[in-house]
This record gives sequence, C-alpha cells and structure tokens, in this order.
Amino acid sequence: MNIAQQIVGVNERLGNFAVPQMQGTTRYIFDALDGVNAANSGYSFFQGVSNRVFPLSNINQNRFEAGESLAVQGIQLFTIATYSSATHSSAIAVPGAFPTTAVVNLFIGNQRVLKNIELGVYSLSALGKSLVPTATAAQTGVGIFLETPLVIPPQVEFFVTAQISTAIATTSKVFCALWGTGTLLNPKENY
Amino acid sequence: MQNLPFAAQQEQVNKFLEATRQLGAQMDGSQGTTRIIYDTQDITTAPTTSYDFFSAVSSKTFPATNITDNRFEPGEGMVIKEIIISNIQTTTPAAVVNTFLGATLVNVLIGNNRVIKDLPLWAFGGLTAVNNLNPTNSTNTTGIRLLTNLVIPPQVQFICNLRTPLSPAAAQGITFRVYFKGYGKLFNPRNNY
Repeated sequence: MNIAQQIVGVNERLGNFAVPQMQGTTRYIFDALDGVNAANSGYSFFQGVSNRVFPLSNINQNRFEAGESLAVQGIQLFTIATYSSATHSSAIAVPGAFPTTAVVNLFIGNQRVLKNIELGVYSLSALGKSLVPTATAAQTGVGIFLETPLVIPPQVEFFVTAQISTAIATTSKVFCALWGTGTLLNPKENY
Repeated sequence: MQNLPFAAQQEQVNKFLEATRQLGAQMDGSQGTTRIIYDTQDITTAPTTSYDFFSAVSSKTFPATNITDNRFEPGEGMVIKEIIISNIQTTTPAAVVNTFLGATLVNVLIGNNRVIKDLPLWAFGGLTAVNNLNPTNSTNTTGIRLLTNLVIPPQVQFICNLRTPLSPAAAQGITFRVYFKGYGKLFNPRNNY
C-alpha cells in the first residue's frame, strides 16, 4: 500500500469519501515552545497552537481543516538559541549537545501512534540509517524518517509530547516538526 | 540526482496527461522534456514580508527570469518535482539555511488553487529534508524534492509566494531566485523525439 492509498483508506473509514479528489501536496507543520531550564522537562507541542503566531507555528489549530490531511513520514526536534522576537536572527542549534536524550510520543485522535521513541542520542550519534539528512552543516536537529506513515485525518486533534534530558534556556525556543505527504482542500480541478 | 526509475517517470506523465485532459487539452503527442523555470526578486527593496514570484515576469528580462509569462503556452506545461530557492546576491549574501530565515513560508498557487501550503524553507534542506532525494544545498541555497507531482497545465497562471518571518531591513543581502524543475511538455505539431 502506498502513502496515497493509506491516506484515502483512513479517510474513507471516517466517512471522508472526497479525499481522492483532494489536491496532493508536500506538507510540513511546526510548533514552538519556550525552553524549560530544567533537566528532563516535558513539552507538549501543537496543543494550544492557536495562541502562537508565525513564525512560531505555521498552523492555526491542532486539527486540519476539511479536506486536509497529512501522512506523517518524519518527525524532528530543534531549537532556536536565544530567540529574539525582534530580529528572529538567532542560529538554529541542536536541543542540547550529545548525549541529549529526547523521547517523543505522537497522539492522533486520543490514540497514541508513536510510543516513547528516542530521537536524541539516536540522531546525534548517528545510530540509525533513517536519519534526516542534512546539507553542509552538521546535524542541526534531531529527527528520523518513520518506518510507516501515520495519517492525521481532517478535524481530528493531534499533539506531540516530548521529554528532553537537557535543560534549555527559557530565552530559546524548542520546535517540533511533522512532515510528509498531505492533501489540501480542492473542490474543483486537481493539479 | 540520479535518474528516476521508470515507474516514477511514468507516474508523473500519467498525472500530467490526466490533469490536462480534465481541462480539455489533449497533450499525449507533445514532446516530453525537462523544464527548469525561474524568477528573481530583490527582497530588500520593499517594506513587506510577502513576495510573489513569477507574477511579474513579463516585465523582466534575462537574467532575472527565463520565461515571459507566468502561464505556459498552448501545448506546453510541466510537473513541478523540485523547488529550489537560492540567495544569488554576491556581496554579503545572507544565509538561508540554518538561520531563522528558514521559517520563511512557501506557497504555490496554480490556477487559483493553493497546491503548496505554508511549507517552510526548513523543510527544504539543511535543517530538515522531507525527502531523502532532496537536492544538495549550500548555506545560500536550499531545495526540496516534492513528495507528490504538481501539474501546471498550459494557459493556467501560477505564482510562488514567499512569506518571510522578518522585515527586509533586518535581513541584509537577499536576492531570492525561485526555481521550479521537473518533467514538462513542449508544443510539437509533428514528430515526437
């Protein structure tokens, strides 16, 4: 089963039969929280995202609009060090140096679909073969490609919880990103 | 970038032909090709954080762009497979990779339909690569290999909008060039090569 078929199958089981006519796209959503200056702190991303404005997030609420969905194919955490809302000019960095441990859960519609997966040491020490590739710079976040796409249908709440072993300055922002193949509302022609 | 396997090539051709058929354009006999189109814009000139690319190419000349209109001629079209955004300014170019400028959101509209919605430059490379086929990047250039095929049929307008997280005054030295690269069709009234 390919990713498009999984998006269609999940949506049809929820009664969304128009999804095959929606516009296919590449989607990347993110949310940012203030750093917590204590070790082993917990973060809850995408909940309360309606209170955050761009560039802290690129979505308005933690559920997709009608016709929109996302097959999550990758997940990532990164930080903006000493975030300045005036200039937004800070460099992006890893949320703490090796051996930061970051354990992540993804919930879709009251169901946990990622359970305590570890992104920190796994990425920072390049343990696996499914790491998010980077360009010229060293690894600038911690993240992986998932082994199976996880479909977020329209109108269903989702959120990510993370526990990070490293204390992160309260002046920094911690970002979480989800990305993959998606659909956009398209009542007419499909391009 | 390696050559795509035949199945992936055929998928983009099939989607292109289906989308153009829906619009009444029969393009099976047109010449297949690879298209790379681009538009360039200096984003330090106006006090705004929203920039439309391709919308004003008719008033630009080479080397700012390589197309004359933001719609393809009859018999021409393309499938967007890659979007590349490069800061081509030669004097003190600001890095677009691994800086907060990476939060810049990209939207692509084809025929009044938004087909890419708020895709940040972070997704393009450097920080994140949503696809392990993403092009190679530098600190000034970032690119993405899309996960789906996006068809631009002939005679349908297209626009790429960039929304930056900071005002141009704070971002020094930015002249963005936006490239669309992918499979295309050229008008061909006779033989197909």
